[in-house]
Amino acid sequence: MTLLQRGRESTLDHGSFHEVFSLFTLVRKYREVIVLLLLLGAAVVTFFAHGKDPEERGPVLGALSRGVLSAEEPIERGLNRGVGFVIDAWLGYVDLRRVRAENQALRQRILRLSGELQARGDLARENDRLRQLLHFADSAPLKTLAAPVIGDSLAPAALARVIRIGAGQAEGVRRGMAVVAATGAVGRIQQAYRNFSDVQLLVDPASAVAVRVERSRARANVVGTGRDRRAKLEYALRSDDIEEGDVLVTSGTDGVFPPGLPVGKVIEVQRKTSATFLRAQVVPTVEVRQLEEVLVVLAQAGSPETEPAAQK
Amino acid sequence: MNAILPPLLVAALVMPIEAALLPYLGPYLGMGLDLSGRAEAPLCAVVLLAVGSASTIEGAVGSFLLGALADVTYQVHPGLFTLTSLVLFVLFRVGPIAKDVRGPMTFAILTALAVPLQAALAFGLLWLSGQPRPEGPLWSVVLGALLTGLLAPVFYWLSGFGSRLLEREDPSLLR
Repeated sequence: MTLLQRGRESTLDHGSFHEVFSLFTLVRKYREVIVLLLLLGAAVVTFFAHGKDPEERGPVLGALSRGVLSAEEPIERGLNRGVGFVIDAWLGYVDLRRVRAENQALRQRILRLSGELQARGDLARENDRLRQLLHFADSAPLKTLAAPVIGDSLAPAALARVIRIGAGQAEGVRRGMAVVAATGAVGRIQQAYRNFSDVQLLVDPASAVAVRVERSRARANVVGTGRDRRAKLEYALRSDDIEEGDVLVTSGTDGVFPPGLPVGKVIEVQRKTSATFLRAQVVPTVEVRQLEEVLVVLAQAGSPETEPAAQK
Repeated sequence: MNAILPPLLVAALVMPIEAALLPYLGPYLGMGLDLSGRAEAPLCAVVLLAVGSASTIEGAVGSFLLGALADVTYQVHPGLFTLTSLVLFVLFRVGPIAKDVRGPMTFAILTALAVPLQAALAFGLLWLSGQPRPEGPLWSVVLGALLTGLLAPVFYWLSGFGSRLLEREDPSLLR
């Protein structure tokens, strides 16, 4: 190797060292920007690479969600009990003051209702006889599980409407099951954890329920708007017989809710001549804020789990 | 690290308390009031990191963690709050308004302003990703801003208290 060649190699080594050093200085100088860009990149990838569906979140995000929520759940449940006790005690005191007047009114109402019940009992018996005569299959009972409402979603209200209930996978609750109350449909299980579950309410923007107009039997979907007491009717034809004041019940065609559960009442109908579908506003039947307990439909009529119960 | 921990811990403490209280608010007020707004504790923490003593790297990492906490708790869409938290952190860190935050009241105003900003960002991102667009968010965003503004001074005080607890004297100075 000639001296000239050695000299050239040495210059190259010096050049690479300077290059690495200047790169290191550059990284040091712009480290804040680099860290910010890396974090933003990770957030963008997480946002666009995953769907809303918890099943699509992948093992890492799924495990993280379960871990954080499971850690929060006992605190939430304990606080809920404490707060509930204090509020119940206060409301109990307020209620005592009203109870005497209410008692009088209720006694009179019981007398009146007893008479009405007698008349309705006769009608029910007649109805039973006619149903048997027409070989109508009596609807099998639903297999349900009562669960307390233990928390509300903290998500910005317009983006998600979710409540948390105190029953989970340990009690047989699974994702997608219907959740109902005495007054009608509440929502469906969005995610079931070990001891609690999140319920996507009917008013959640991503919720859709197949319904039927009780009066005219017209079919449509009730879709959430993100507002507490408002949903909208979708895919109802302009020519469908739907009026303000119509009661909507579940049609059962979505395979989630059993048929015939009240969903809401139509309060406003708009028919545009240029549109195929009409637009209608719906007020949900269930007042979610007043719910203390709900029923999770573990199995519906006709499923193997309810058949033995129906036969008994 | 001391700059990140207090806001993160206070947010993690406030969130379950709020979740436990929320079911009682409607019936307890008993006026048919639609309490669809929420006080957003993670957002308070992000704004505090942006205007507080945390360095840019600490603040960015803290905002990322707070956004991730909001994402796993809220479950609206993975990464939504992580992304919006980081963007808000950058906006408030760079923006000239943040320099005028000197106490809990100005902090409350800035935090309340952050709510509609975050909502606009979230709606835009959800629209971009083809998610269903909510119809009537205005009322809940305004109420959310108001409630978050009310929570902010408490959050400011609690985080300051946490920071003072974490601060330790350097033993070398005592020699």
